[in-house]
Amino acid sequence: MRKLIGYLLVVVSLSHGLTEHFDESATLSPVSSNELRVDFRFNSERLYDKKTELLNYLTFPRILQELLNRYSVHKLTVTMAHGRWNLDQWGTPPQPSSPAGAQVFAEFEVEREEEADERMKFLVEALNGVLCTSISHINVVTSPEFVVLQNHNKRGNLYRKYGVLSGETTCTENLTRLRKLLACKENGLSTLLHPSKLYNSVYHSSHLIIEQQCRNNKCEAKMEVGVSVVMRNPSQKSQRHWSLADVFDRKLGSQCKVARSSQLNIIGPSGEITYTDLKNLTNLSGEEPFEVYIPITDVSKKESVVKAWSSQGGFEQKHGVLTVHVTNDDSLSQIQVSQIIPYYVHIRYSQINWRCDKGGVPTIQKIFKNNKSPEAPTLLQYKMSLSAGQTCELVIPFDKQLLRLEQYPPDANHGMHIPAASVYIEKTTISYTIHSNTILVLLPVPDFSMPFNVICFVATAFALVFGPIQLYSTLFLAPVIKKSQWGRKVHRAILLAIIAFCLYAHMMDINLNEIRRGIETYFEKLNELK
Amino acid sequence: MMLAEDVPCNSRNPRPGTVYAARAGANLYGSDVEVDYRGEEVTVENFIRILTGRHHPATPRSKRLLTDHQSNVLIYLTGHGGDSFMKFQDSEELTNVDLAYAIQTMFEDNRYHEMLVIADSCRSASMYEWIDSPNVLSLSSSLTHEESYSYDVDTDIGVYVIDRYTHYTVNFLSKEVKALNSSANMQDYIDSCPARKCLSTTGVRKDHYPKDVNRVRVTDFFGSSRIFQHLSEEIVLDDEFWM
Repeated sequence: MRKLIGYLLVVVSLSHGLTEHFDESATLSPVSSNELRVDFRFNSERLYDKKTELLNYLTFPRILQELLNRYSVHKLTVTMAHGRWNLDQWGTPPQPSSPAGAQVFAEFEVEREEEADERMKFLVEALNGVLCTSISHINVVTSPEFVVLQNHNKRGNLYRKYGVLSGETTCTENLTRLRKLLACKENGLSTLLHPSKLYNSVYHSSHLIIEQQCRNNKCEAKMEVGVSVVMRNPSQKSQRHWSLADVFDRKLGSQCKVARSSQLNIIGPSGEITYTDLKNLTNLSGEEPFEVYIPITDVSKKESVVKAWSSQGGFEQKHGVLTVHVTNDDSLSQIQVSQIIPYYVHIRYSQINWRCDKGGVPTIQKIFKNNKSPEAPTLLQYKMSLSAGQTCELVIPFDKQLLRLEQYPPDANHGMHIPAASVYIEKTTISYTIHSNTILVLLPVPDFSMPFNVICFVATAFALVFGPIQLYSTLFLAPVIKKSQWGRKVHRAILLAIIAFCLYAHMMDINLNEIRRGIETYFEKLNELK
Repeated sequence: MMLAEDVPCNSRNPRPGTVYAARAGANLYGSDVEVDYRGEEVTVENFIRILTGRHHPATPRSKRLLTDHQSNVLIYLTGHGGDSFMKFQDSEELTNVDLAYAIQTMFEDNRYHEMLVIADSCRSASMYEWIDSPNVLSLSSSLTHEESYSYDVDTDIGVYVIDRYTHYTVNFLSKEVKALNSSANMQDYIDSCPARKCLSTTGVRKDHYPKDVNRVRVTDFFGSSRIFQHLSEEIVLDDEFWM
């Protein structure tokens, strides 16, 4: 029966020109003697006819197709990461490279810039819904001229929006949502996505890429969900190998039947790759769980790469210096450096400079992008070639801003982030992006109870000053009345009583609400008396 | 669900990706968890917006309450509070008047059928003091002049991990309300944390709630019960139904 249904599905899909594919793979490679890198990739493709096939779906997530169509997205990349990729030991980071926090790059097929701005706003909110993120406050910059992400090269007549939110956390709820986009949520390789194991790691990142191209009503939509993790061997004992059960705390007990391919790749210490096709395994759901063992050996992936890191200088509350260090351990490379500066620090444009060792500063092309809006970030971009072994530093002095009260985040004393710099490296054989680290800037923080204090202070001063002024301004004019002054005495007595009560309330720590409740109950009792 | 702190995946969590309420308890942050508002998005403004439904048009469906005149709404506020307020994050407070106005707006917009407000903080009975809207049952962990207390301390991280009221609520729900057809009633729930266990007197306010709490099932509010009834006859929904 199941076969028949599957056969029917194929027939139906063929007759309508709808084709969908789902591929999954996991790659395990030890990167040091006690660290294992795991990369999951889930790819979905959908070929359909725009006229007839908008509402038929087999394995492609409908929500993503709706995002693509509704916001006229050509290509969208969202990454989330926690931790820092160790370029020294682990080599090239998984692409698209993710800075700490969240990153969104969207290309829109629209007519005008304002339209793209509006769509980006809605797209970010929609992503919050799809991925369970909270990136509404993302720092978006418009149309980066140089390459920021390796898979978003500038081409065509598209409006491009790029944003980073460094403080964004990534956790189980995001992984759950990513998993919901897959064709196989409970079978196949996705069973290995166990949150408490994945997040108990040195570094973890996840990404979602969606893309759509249409030609004469024939459309091709693509999706890639990726999860990359570097895990550290928890037991420092002399364990001889990694195993799936140890690494993921789950066993691979079922196949993803709808997948076109389902592969488990293991990269050995000397770079040899062992492929296991899970579709060919017959005994996966048998008594003995499927297991692979990766020997623990002393590997060190000494890849020659370009490295980048950021640091912060300065010693006072008002000013600071951001330095981006770029080192080329490789041969001569073309690099493009991008740095987003959020609105809460103001950079001193005249003092920005590059410092290089070995052969001085190369010729640099630069583009600065700023926006009239006071809360828009600034984008600094540089294009240069770095010779082998050269280290360059980009020095950006900045002034910290005293913001408006409502512009501070709820935990302002924690500080605010300057996103990581992105470095795109272009060589004849390979091109990739790396990210430096995020910088936490401590801004001058006002006393948030200040408005309350000001009100108290002004009221007190006013009360103290008002008495004598009123007295002297009215005394001169007042006729001397020798009559009985009962009214005045009563007035004074009431004032004294109020002051005494205030003092009592202050000494006894009685707050205003309790006094109000007291008065209310008193009136209620009066009502009952009638 | 609103979660201001990233507790599970914070680097200082000794067991990343998990949250435990007790040393021997189960992981509360299972793989099916959904957090709707987190981090900086947890603000008083957003909370009021959820209740009243006045969102920016871009707000996704998962961040809206989307209730109507047939929905039973449960609001569970837990955290630090004081007389007439509840703390949100570092520098904001939700006052009892804000809460009462938001609920009154919900009533006027027909956004709930019955509502259960639970406040678990010090002096939490003050939180429902101003609520005047019909069909609202309010509970609190302590009376206005009392403090609420924590239940369990984790010596590894040096923090109290659960409040007494929440602890006994979890206990009650996991013992008495195992399925949607559970017959436990609201009075059982109210009695689940007596003063000798809670170390504070729990507050109840029933004067705007017309039903007898002995005859109201706990699953009316907890468990998002979806009990469907199959109808075979044709029903025409008139305008009054949607009002």
